[in-house]
Amino acid sequence: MKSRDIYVDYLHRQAALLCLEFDGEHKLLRMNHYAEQTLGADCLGKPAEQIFVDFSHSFSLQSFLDQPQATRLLNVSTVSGLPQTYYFSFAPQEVGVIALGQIDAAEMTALRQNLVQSNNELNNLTRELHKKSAELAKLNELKNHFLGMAAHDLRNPLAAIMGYSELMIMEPHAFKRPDFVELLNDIRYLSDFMLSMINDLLDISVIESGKLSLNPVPRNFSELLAKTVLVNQVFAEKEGIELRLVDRLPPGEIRIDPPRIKQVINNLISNAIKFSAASTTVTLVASLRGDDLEVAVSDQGPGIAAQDIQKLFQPYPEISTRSSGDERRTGLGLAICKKIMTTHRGDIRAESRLGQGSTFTFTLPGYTTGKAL
Amino acid sequence: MPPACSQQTLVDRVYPDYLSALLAGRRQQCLALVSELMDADVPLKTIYLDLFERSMYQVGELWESNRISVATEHIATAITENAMGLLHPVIFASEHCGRKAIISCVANEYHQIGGKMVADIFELHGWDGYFLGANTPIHDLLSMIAEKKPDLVSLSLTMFSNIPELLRHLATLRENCPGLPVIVGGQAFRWGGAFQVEGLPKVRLLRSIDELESLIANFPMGLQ
Repeated sequence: MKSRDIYVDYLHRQAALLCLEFDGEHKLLRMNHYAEQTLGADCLGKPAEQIFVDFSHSFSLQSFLDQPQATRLLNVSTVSGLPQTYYFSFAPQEVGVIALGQIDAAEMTALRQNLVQSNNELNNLTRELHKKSAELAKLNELKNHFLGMAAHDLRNPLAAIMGYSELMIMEPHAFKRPDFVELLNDIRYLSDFMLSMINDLLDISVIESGKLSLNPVPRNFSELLAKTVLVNQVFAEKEGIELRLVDRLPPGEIRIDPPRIKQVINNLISNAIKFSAASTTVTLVASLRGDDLEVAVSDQGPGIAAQDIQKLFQPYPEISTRSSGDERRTGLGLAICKKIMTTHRGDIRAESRLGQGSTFTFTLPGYTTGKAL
Repeated sequence: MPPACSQQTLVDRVYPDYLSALLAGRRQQCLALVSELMDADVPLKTIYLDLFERSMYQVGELWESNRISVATEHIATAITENAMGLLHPVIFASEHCGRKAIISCVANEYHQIGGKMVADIFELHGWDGYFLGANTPIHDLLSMIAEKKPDLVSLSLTMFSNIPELLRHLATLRENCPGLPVIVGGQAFRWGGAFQVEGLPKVRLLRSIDELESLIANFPMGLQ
């Protein structure tokens, strides 16, 4: 077999190349095996304007013959129903035209790379979506569990308050009973608990809807800290706990939302007191680390198990440590603190060892020293 | 639950059909076979190792011996990743322990299934497995480390030619996060490269999912 015949045979039988031969009337006269597979055997005899997809409705094979060497991008109708794009060159014959169409290999490689990349990204996003969906399902379950607990915890004190009120209405002489003040104290304590639970629920709902906004103002932090500690002294003394403040801050100021920062300090002190036994010490140390203000609240309580530390700042954590007086708590306080700190561009963390107490530390950026306030 | 041996037999029975569907690009058939195994309570790890890993190793060998095209390999990869997605609801339902791992492929490494399997195994064992995907530049990895503060980083490598890039990643990680443990692994190490990473401080080469599970169980032991 001559080399020319080998080429022709290869082009006819195997090459992934469209070889189309049109007659003098520009109807398809012959095609190679690849073209037959791609366009369908029934294309024979069809005019060129039906083989090539013509969006302009002014298709003319003749117009391509003016510059037969130029490569033209053209779409052809295929048996799959989807048009395919080929780069065509045209060779005029004595009678008729031969059209040769090929796919751009570099373009196909780029297309495949693009598809692989898109597929990778899509799969990775799907994985993230599945992960988020599972997290949301777990969170929803916890939230339902928490709502059940909250309803239960609100119902019990309400029932007690109603009982005490009934007693006072039914037995007016109860006002003269020696334990009357104690009854009122119980009502006050139960109402306080319900109020704090409702406040936490409102806070967490604001936080989870992403609507927590701050009103930052420059503030003397040492002053704010001292006042907040002073307010908590009375609660600590009641439990027989020493509350100590060690302020190592140089004079200066920091931009914060004071009520929100007080809320964080109150929460940390209150937790430390709740989890401490009588005759122990809760210590607050305020210091500077670079430009960051740092406050550490340490207790000598039972500590927190390592597996529970990571869960502390999540809403509705289910952790095993119990408060020393078995006080009620909503389990939302630290999640609220975390959000307040991160919205201040600060952070909060916990370190603890079972039997050795816990330290909760928060940091706030941008402490400016040397300003007289 | 059926005994483990019958589940293994089930996977072995399904495997030839799965592989031929994979090579022919029959996505729905592959997904249906994986669903069949899940319905039969075949453990997830068995599906990962004896179906996904085994078939993709075979696809790789067929490609290396020029018996299938790179396009076929890409389609098989895409189908496998789709099939892995079927198992996500089981994987992500695991109780979290609070530990975090970032899993990434080095720059220019476009094969991501191995890394994704590693990320899923971490999730299955209660870790957060953050998967950054194929061809991840080192600065993206460093940004993610700064954001997530992981307990460990895992780098996956399929192409042996990417070993120099891996070594550059390791050097940058050592410079920026000296205390952070790094595990490396992947098909690339079939051809060598182990001696270049073994002995590096806080770096460990893992050769199998079993080794990975052992590391997770004993973490942080063995990563000094």
